Amino acid sequence: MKLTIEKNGFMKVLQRIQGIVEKRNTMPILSNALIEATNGRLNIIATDLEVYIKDSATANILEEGSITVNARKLFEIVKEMPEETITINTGKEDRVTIKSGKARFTIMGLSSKDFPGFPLIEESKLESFDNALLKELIDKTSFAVSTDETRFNINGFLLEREKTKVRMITTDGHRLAFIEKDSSKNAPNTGKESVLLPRKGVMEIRKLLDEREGDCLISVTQKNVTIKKEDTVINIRLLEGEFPDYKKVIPTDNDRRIDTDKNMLLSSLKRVSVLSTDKIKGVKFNFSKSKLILSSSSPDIGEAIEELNVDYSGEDIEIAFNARYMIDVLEVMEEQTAGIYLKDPLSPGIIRADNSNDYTYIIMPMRL
Amino acid sequence: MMPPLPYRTIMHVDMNAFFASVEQRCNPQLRGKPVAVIGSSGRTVVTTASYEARACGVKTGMNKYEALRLCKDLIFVVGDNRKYMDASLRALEILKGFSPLVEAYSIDEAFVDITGANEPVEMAVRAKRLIKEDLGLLCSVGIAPNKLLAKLASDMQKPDGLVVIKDADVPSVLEDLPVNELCGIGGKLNGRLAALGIRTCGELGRFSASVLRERFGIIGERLKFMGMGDDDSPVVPMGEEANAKSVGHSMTLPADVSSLSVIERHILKLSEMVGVRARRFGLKGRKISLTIRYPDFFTFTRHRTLSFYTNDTHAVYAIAKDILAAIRLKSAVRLIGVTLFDLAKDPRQLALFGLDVKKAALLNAMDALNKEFGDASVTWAALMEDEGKGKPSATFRRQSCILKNRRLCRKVALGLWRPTGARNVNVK
Repeated sequence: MKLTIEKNGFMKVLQRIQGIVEKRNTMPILSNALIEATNGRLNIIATDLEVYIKDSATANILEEGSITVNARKLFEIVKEMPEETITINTGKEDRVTIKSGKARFTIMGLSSKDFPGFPLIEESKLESFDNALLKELIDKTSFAVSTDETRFNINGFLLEREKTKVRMITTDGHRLAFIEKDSSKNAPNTGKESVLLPRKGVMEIRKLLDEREGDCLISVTQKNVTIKKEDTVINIRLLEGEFPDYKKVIPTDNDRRIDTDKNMLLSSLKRVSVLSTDKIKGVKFNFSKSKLILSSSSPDIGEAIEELNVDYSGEDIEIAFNARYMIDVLEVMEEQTAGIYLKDPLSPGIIRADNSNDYTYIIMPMRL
Repeated sequence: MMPPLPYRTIMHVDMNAFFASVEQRCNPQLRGKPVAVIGSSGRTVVTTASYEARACGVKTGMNKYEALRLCKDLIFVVGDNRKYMDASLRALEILKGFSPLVEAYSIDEAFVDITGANEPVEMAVRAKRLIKEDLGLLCSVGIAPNKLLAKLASDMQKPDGLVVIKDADVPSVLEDLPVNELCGIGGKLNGRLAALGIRTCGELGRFSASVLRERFGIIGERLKFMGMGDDDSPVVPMGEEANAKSVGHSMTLPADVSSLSVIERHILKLSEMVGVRARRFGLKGRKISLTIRYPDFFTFTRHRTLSFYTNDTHAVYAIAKDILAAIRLKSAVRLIGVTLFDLAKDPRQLALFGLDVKKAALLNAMDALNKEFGDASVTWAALMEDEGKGKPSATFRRQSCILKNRRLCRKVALGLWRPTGARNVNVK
């Protein structure tokens, strides 16, 4: 294999794959990236066996071929190269030489034969998906994904498609984010489709959505989800766990409704939570007529209290929430007014924007 | 500089050959004979030797065969922690008669703050007499202006000693005392100090504080004070210890084990003990560590940080097992320890899903039953299987159905298997 490639383009693809390369050293070849010179392009593939990424850059191919090299090292080398043009060629025993100007690196590669193959993608199954919509689905749910590795069934994003509706749901067992959008722009789905996407893969997709304009192509099978945007293809193996029945935990009888200015509540919560005890920030919410008193205390430090005007006319209610959970949702809400719907101090609360039911956030209280 | 210390009088009480003495007291036939206590029947390391055995040269840490070579009449007794705990608590009760400030330093040592006592020596004599009369045990007592020196004093005369170090005596006592005689300076530190040319406490006390700080970090300065015999640490009475920083259990296995499934089973048992304790204290932790000791006493610890707080037995077990999976064991395993740390008070956060609620309720129910009927009255089915055999027997399965939740009760059964062997139970 022999080729020359322009530094900037090469660096971009190398950077994009870094997040996927396996960091834990379970299989040495997974810390490598596969580079393949063919047809006037340099293709590059990386995987941790759960997420696969394929990208490509134009290159001047002098001799076709392929090799795998340590992705991290290759990126660091290319980044520091002095000239705009980089030459790569393979030598004996899987050695790879990278040259630019007078700099010359020789690193050991591993044969591309041993690298896991990129899953087969059926181009015909790829359908267009609104970029901004996918971004919103991810951004409004990603903070609630469980990071508890032992609970693999909630360790990801539940993506549902039913007719023209598309939904994304995440939970960590204490709170749940639900968003439902109409995707009439996209081809309607015949049946109901429900898949569980792992966190890492979705975060990689999210990066890709930011990088480039234009809609992406998506295909969902029983085992994988594939996203394609220009030359970049990300394929994610679906999680196998059974996501809990989220419909059951979305309350329908939370009659006490409080409307509050979102920004005011957000900044007040940030202030008050400074003094809440421990690493888990519990804040007390005291609702009474047109008034909300937020308070927190720590036996070792002191206490904080703040009064806010809210739109509420029901009975007094006192309830405690983890401030972090509340702040997370308020930060992604675009609307001016946040609606809080409560039942009693031990039942889940709902937070919604204005009157819309598209975005629903459920948060379980803390015992007072 | 350390502020001038208020004048204090501290008494350190060290029970002599504690485990062996308790055994001799319980079994008159052992009295006056060389006795060595070992961890369990499958174990060979001597944990304590009676003074009769020590006279022949038998020491703690020796193995059975070495000990037998030195003393052919040596009688081995398998240790019984409950007996020792009971004796220890009784001794503490006696000491509390002298001062409310009694710190249980270990199972066989205690500090008593007797500042203001008119006749500290007379007090010590009475304490020794009471312990001997009530418990039939001997102890060495050290009296000094602080804990460091009190401990040093009690070490000076064994058994049945009583040594007083007065303020004025401190320089002469410490001048030629090897540094490793001080509590807190062990082999490694001793070696590093020796490399600086420091062999005695006198030398340590005169050494440059800045060099010590540079070499040893924050403890550098403290080392210098130790060399001068200064120690301002208070006697912390029981129940007033600082908040727990970790909850851990470790266990020397009855015999060295190399089977992964058996090791995992011990890890499950330890995880359960850790979980029970954390739940009892209302604590959750975010870091879990696994400690392994090989038969050659090489010991290491690996930990994993979680992004959430837990005290769920199953979560602790899953993580500890995961840590084990990442270790390439070089030999059989002698000791296993599981610790939960980076603790926070259980925030009383409620769970959203019914299954989680049930799971928490199940753990609470298990804890309550075990509290009522004794440890491991209800335990995990995996702890009941015979080594190498598959499923729990039909009886167990039937019993396990007492618990309604099908998905969970598969893992829980009324059971008996519990690991034996010396256990180190610590809440630090």
